[in-house]
Parts: sequence; structure tokens; C-alpha cells
Amino acid sequence: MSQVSVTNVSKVHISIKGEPLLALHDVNFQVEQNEFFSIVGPSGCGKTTLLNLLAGFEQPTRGELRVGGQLITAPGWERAVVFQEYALFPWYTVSQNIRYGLKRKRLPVDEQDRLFDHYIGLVGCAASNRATRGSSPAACASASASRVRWPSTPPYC
Amino acid sequence: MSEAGDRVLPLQTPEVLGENAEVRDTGVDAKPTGMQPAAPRRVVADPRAMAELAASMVPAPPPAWRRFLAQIRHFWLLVVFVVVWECISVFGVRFNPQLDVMLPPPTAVFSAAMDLIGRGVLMTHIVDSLYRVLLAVGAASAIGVPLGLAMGWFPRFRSAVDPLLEFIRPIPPLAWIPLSILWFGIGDTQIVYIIFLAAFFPIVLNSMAGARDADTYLVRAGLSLGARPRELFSTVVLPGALPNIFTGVRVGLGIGWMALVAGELVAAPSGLGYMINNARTLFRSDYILLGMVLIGVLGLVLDFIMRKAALLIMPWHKGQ
Repeated sequence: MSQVSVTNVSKVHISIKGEPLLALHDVNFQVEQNEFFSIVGPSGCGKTTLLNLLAGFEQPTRGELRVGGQLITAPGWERAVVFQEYALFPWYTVSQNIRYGLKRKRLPVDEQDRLFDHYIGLVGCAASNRATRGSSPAACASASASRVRWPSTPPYC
Repeated sequence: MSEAGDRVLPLQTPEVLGENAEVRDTGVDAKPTGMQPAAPRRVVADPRAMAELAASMVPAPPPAWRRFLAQIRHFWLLVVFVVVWECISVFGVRFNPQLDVMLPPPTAVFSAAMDLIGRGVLMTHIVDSLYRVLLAVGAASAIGVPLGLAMGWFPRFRSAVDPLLEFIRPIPPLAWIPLSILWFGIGDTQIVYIIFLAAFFPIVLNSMAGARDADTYLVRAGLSLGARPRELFSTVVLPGALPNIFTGVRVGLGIGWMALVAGELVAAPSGLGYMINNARTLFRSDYILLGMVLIGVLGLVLDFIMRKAALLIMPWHKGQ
């Protein structure tokens, strides 16, 4: 069975004026285990809509999306999202932002620290410096901000 | 100390690293992963060395007394105002003898203050007024903030509560005075109730806006990182709504302060409003002006405290 299956998915957005807008029509594809799958297309073709459906932020108008056989109904940590606009929490420091997902999982503290160091090491984030790690995300340059967002969603599997 | 092959970032010169740079194991194999090579050990710069280097590059901040003087400088117009007032009152009496009562000079207001302090009465009025407004605004926040947040976050709850709220809101607090006197008699409770009504609605509306306008992307980020509804509320919606909540409490405090004075003018056993009304019956306009000046000053001080508290509670908000 494929890991991700998208079957006959259509999505209609309703604009503020109440007009229906067809964003996706009859989309079908499957993604296998360990496969790296890329969706490319011109701006406005429905990529973000499709990703929102896969993430569980929206529901399809028709069709179904499944992960591991389970229907997608809500967001979850097993379908981590890295946002285009970083979506960092300004009221948390950089390291608190990175640890946010780990805390939601209620992992033991030393396990959280181990994962934190591991992914910081992988990414080579400028925020690996202890001084800037305690600072606010607003102080980060955008390049390092993206490198804060990535370790926040490490693969937990 | 670091060895060749350890991850040292380009900006980490020896000055920045310092002598106590820590070397950490990352537990990662030294295989490149895309744009940046991964490293099994990374060097963490000594924060004190970095701080010293940073401090050496910028001029030292001026001493505290100089900064204080710079702040005082802003009050020059106020000083001019007081001086002009004094001159008008003192010299205008020659042209209009009634100015004695209609507009006493600042010096008369000051001596009235000394007089009342000597009799131990001024502090009582001030403390009574402050106590009522702080208690009322505190209660209005304790009830209004959760209510507003719930209304902003749960649309169905909002549609249920909104009609009742919007019906009561336009009724001015002062219109409640007769009924509140019937309910509570004349005293602290009645005045606290009036101030509560005045402060309640700005607090609710602003808190509601804060929860309703929670950043969609931040909410989604929280959800996709595995936050449950209650966690989502406390870690994403509430911090995001804090600036709006604070605005609501600050506005509520300002309106509540005005309602306090109006309420005390009508019916009160003590307080600044009572002092003004009492002075009116005695034709002591110096006491009246003293009351007004104190009301203005105290209102300013309360607002100032709120703004400082905002900086403390929401340090991130200032930067943006």
C-alpha cells in the first residue's frame, strides 16, 4: 500500500463575495515509502491548496487523501509542515521555537536535548551559538530564520 | 579547543570564539547533506567573548543622570503653561477681582494641597479613589479577558453572547448610577460597580479581537507541530492576543478612571470626585483645581505604569 494516496480530489474555494473558485479538479497521485516527491507549477495552480489538504488544514470538496491508509482529517505531527513564511513564534526564543514540537510530544528532557543538538548540528544554524539562541526570532536574519524553521519540524519517525 | 574538521562558522573568528569556546558532539556522521557540510563536532563561541567584542565596537551608553535629564527636557511646555497660569491669575486680579475665585494660581493650589495633607485628609481621598479603580478594573479584566478570548475563538459562543452584550454596551455607566444606588447603597461597592461597567466593554472587545485575529500561519504551525486544542490556545492564541488584551486593559483603565470621578461627583463618601464636589459647595476653587490636577496626574501615572508593564510582559512586541 502506498504511503500517501490522493484520490479524485477536488477543492472549491468560496471567495469573500461568495463566488465559488475551482482550485483543484480531480487530482490523483500516490507517493511510496521513502520516495521524494516534488510538486511544481506556475503560481496560482493550486500547489499550496494541495499541501494544505495534505497537512489537514483544509478539507477537500470531493475525494479523499490518505496517509498510511488513514483518512486525513486534521493536522498532526506526523505530517510536519515547513512554512513558506517561516511561521516562527515571536514570543518564544529561537531555541524555544525549535523545541516546541519536541515538547508537544512529551519526550523526556534529555531526549529533547539530544534531538535538539543533533538537528542544530545538521543544519549549521547560526543560532547554534548560545548567545543568539536565547534571542528572539525577530532578531534573526531571514536566512537563519529558515534554518530555525527546518529543525523545528524534524522527522520524528 | 577546536581541531581541524570541527564546524566553525565563517563569522566565528578567534576574537569571537574566545578561549573558552565549547566543542560539542552533534552525533552526526561527517557526510555532506546538501548545501552545508555536516560535522560531527561543532564549536560554540564563548558568549562573553562575543559580548566583549560587541561592546568594544559601540560607544558606551551615557551615565544614568544624563539620560534622566534628557527625559526631563520634554516637560518644558508644561512648565511654560504653569508659569503663564500663575502670571494670569496673579496679575489678572487687578482687572477682574473675581479671578481670585474663578482661577486661583498654581501657588494657591499647592498651599491647598499642603493644607489638606497637614490635616491627613488628602491621602485618604487619593487612596480611596485608587483602590476603587484598581479593584474594579482588576475584576473587569479577570472576567472580561477570558470572556473576550472565548468569544474571539469560538464563533458559536460569540453569536450567542454578542446580542446581549451589544445591547448593554451602549448604556452609559452613569445611567446605571440610580439603579446601582438602589442595589448597593452609597459606598465603595456602588462606585466599583460603575467603574467595572465602564472598563468591562473595552476589555472584552479588545480581547475578542486579539483571539479572533490570531495569525493563521502560527495557529497552523502549532497544529502541525502536534499541539492539542488547549495547548494551542495557551501557547499560540493567548501570547498572540496579549498586545490586544493589553490595549483593552489600558483603555478600560482610562475610561474607568473617568467613570470613577463622575461617579464620585454624584454620590460618594470620599475620594477625589467627592473632594471636588464638596469644594464646589464651599466655593473653594483652589480645592477644586487641586482635585482636578491630582486626577490628571494620577491618570497619567497609571497609564505610564501600564505601558512599562506592557514592555515587561511582551518584550517581543516592542521590537516589531
